[in-house]
Amino acid sequence: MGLKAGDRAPEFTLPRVGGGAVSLSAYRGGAVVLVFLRYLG
Amino acid sequence: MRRRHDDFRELGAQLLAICFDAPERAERYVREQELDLPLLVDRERRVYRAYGLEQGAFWRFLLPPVALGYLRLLSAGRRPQRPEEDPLQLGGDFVVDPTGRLALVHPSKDPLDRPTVAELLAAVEQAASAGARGE
Repeated sequence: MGLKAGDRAPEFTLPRVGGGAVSLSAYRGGAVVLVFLRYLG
Repeated sequence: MRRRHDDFRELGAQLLAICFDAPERAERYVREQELDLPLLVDRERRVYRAYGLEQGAFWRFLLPPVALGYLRLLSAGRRPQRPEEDPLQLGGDFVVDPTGRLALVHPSKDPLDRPTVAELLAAVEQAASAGARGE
């Protein structure tokens, strides 16, 4: 809780729509923008 | 979102969207929005929690545009039945720099509280240069 700039981004692996899984660490070496959506409904 | 994605790609950044809806709903969203970036599904909202994204207070959902959407959901008989269908769950935006550290942290305080695209792009630009310097 209470993440702030400079903290290590929590690692995750999640299934991807369309198949496969994506890990944050796979993008190490480039910037990543994470957009957490609200309930699509 | 598509134009947004192009802007970020030009800066060498990867955009990842994360939702917690049922996979069928997420697939429909990708089709409807013609989303050309990866949409990941976090059914249990473990990653939402890891990033400190909370449920909003109910009164915030009385903000007119949000209330309207919520009322539409209710009137369509779509009252959320299961905890994973939670309209009070807030979203948020984060920029991760090339070394894996957070460059921008923006958990939404209410459903309309999102950073602007310009703010995100500025954070990406800064993060990319920090990464290049090996900070």
